[in-house]
Amino acid sequence: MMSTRRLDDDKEILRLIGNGNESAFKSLYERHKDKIYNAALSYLKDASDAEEITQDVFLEAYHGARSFEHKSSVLTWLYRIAINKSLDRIRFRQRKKRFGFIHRLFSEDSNMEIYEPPDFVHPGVVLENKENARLLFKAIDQLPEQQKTAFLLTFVEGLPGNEVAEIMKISLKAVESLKQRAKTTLRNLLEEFYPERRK
Amino acid sequence: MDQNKENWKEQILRSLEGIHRAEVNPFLYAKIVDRLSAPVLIRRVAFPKIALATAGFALLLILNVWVLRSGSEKQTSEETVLINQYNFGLY
Repeated sequence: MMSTRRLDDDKEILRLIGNGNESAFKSLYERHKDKIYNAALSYLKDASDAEEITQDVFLEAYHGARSFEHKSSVLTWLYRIAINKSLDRIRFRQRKKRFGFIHRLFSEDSNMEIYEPPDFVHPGVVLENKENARLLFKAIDQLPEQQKTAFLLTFVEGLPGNEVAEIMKISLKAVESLKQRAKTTLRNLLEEFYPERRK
Repeated sequence: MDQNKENWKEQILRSLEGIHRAEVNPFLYAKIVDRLSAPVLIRRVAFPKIALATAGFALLLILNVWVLRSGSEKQTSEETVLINQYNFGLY
């Protein structure tokens, strides 16, 4: 039976998972599920996609526990897997959308609709900010990947700069610069939504 | 007007203040365990992809053979014409 001290230590938990200990795996899941699910949710803006990514992240952690080299913290590793998988999913969606558009051009059934997901409102946003947050997430969607990651990890996940830097494998200075650039880009992107509010 | 717009943008950018984490589906762990205990499937490449690649390769091969053969036939017929014209084949 594992002691409480052991359950508080990610490295030890990972070692136990590597030995096939399922209760250690559950501990790892309980400790980090919220962070991983919410990170995926901010990228994908879809609860079922975020759930799938969370499953994939923990499965990869289970299978990779034995070979994990501890060059970073376990949470950083999990975040990296989640972010990479989320970005892959977004790229897949974009390819699918492009293919759907081309298919529609050459298909006889030219009236076929391309599915557009509804605007996303993060369930954790304070009620009075929901409308503004809807517009913000719409703009975040159009940010370049690096700026998006720096912005989401800082302002949605609430991670400190040094953790963001570790996850993104860049310097703290680079994170600060990306955050500033993201804000500038967002201000420009929000221009096009301004009239929407005036209606 | 511009000041209003800038204030509005600032408000939008601050709309994530006080955000809290969304709750995870309580059955998610069970789904993960289900997938853990599921037999490992060998990832197969979709049949249409294999078929398309094979057809492409076969087409390329046929085209190469055709180009080579038509080239050598043409050369042979040119040689025949030359031999006939100069009666090289008489002696």
